[in-house]
Formats: sequence, structure tokens, C-alpha cells
Amino acid sequence: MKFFKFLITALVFVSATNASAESVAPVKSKEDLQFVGKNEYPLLDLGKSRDYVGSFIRRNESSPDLKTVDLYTFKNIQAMKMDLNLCANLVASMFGPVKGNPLQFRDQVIFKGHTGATCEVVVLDPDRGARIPERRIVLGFINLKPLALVFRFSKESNASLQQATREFWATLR
Amino acid sequence: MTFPMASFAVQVCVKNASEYAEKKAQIPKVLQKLQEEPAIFAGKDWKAAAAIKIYFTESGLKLDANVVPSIGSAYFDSSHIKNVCFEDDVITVTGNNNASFEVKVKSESSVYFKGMTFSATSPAQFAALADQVTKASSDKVSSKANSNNNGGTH
Repeated sequence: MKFFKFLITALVFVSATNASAESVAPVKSKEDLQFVGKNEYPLLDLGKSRDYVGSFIRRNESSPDLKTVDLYTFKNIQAMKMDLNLCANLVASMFGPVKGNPLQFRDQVIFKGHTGATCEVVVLDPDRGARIPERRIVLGFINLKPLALVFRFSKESNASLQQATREFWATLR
Repeated sequence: MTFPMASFAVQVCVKNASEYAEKKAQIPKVLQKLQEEPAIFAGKDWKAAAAIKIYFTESGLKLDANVVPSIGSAYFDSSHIKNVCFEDDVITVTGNNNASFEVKVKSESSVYFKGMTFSATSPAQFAALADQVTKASSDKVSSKANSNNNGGTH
């Protein structure tokens, strides 16, 4: 009888653990978010560099293009501050080198974010009918760790959407 | 003196449409119609339906990933492929960012990777598969809600 009680307790514990098995994001936000780790679903990381760790789902965001945001973290980076050179290197590790790449990299700028120098890059996919013709990447340091957010747009973004990407970056802690 | 026969698989790699056309005969049947139509493979487990699409665009080969979880938002991403290599029944796909993954050919209409079997399918069939996954989940949620309600009234 004791054995059965133990077995039932163990089963309840295992199922409760599985039910609450939600990935933990390497960074926090002031926003209400769900973090989906790259191994939680098949194919999430398909074609992405190993720096990709998962995606944020912003529960209260109504724009589909801003709702899911990819998160990248980078290991073995000695630098402690974002600059154009580091930014270009990180973007190349995510999407491949600029030279010979079908993607076009534009408007790389450094702006002052809540944790210091922050980089923004626009990545365009020139293919006719591309379902993600534009990506906007925000790269910077949070808690002294280099991170990147990738926003994927189903059509060319406007000023308000562009502003929203920086505002989301500013919620990260 | 005799030597045992050894068979050496030859690796065939393609990075654009012209190389693909040239080496088509050496490419597994499962990917032999890429120039006529995209190859779509779909699979599902208990928490998501997923599909991969490989196709040619004006810039070369491209790969789409579509994930429909049982609960929550669908996920789509697209990436450019640097090259695809074939050796025996293993396909190695390498992206422009040098990220690569291996796919095992299981039959003329199915492949295996990331722990799942993906079968050749059409967009409509994938939509139906995604429906099954989300419906199974919502049925589970509503039957749980019903049993809770019933428990409360009796």
C-alpha cells in the first residue's frame, strides 16, 4: 500500500513538473511576457545561428509584427560596450557575412539606450514575395551581457513600429 | 589476392538552380522536384504541428519554418541556404550564417530530423494538421472546464 502511495505521489510530482516546464528567459522585462525556449517546439531554431536562445511572446501586444520577438545571446565576447564594429560582427554571426549575402544590411546606427550604447540594424530580404521583407535588430548590453532582439516584419515598417522596437528594448532588465 | 569491396559515397552539393539542374540525377527523389514546386514536409507531436518548406527564389535556395503550437501564437521564419549537400541518405543544409543541420531521408516522401518524422505534404494538408493539434488542445481544455463545472454543481 505504501508503495502505491509513493508511486501516485511520484506521478503527481512528475506531471506537475512537466506542466509547469516553461523556459526561463536569460533577461527580464517590465512587460507581461512568455518566453519560449528554442527547444520547446520543433523547428523554432531552424536556419538560425547557435546564438538564438528563444522567443518572447508579448501577451499584451496587438500588432502581429511586434508580438513575437527573437532573442539572441552571445558567448565569449570580451567587449563591455556596444560599438559599430562589435555590432557588425554580431549581426554577421546571426545572419552571415555581408559579402555575398542575399540579405541586405542597412542603416546601422548606435543610439543611447537605457543601459548605454545600443545598436540598431535593418535587414532587408529583396526576394519578391518574401514573407519577412524586413527585420530590425536591436543589439546592446543588459546586465553586462551582449544580447540581440530580432523583430520580423511582414511588410516595410513605419516610424511608429520602429519606435516600438526601441521601446521594447527599454523594458529589458 | 582479393580485396574486400568498399563503397564510397560521393557527396554532392548544390547552391543554386543551375548546379541543382546539373546534379539532379544524384539528388534523392524526395527533393527532385524543387524547380517545379517547393518541397513541404510536415509533422506533429502532442504540442505542435510543424512544417519545413524548401524552395528556389531569385536569390537561391530558401528555407521556411512554420510552427503551430497547440496553445499560443503560430511562429514563422525564413532563411537563405548557402548550400545543400547529399551523401547517401543524409542531407546537410547549411545557411548563410554557417548554421547547419542534418536531415535523414526515410523514404521517397518522408524525412527525419530533430527527433521527428516529416512527410511530404501540401499547404492545405499542413493547415489541416495544424487544425488537429489546436483542436485537440481546445477539446482538452473545454472537457476539463466541463468536468470542473459538473463537479461544482453536483
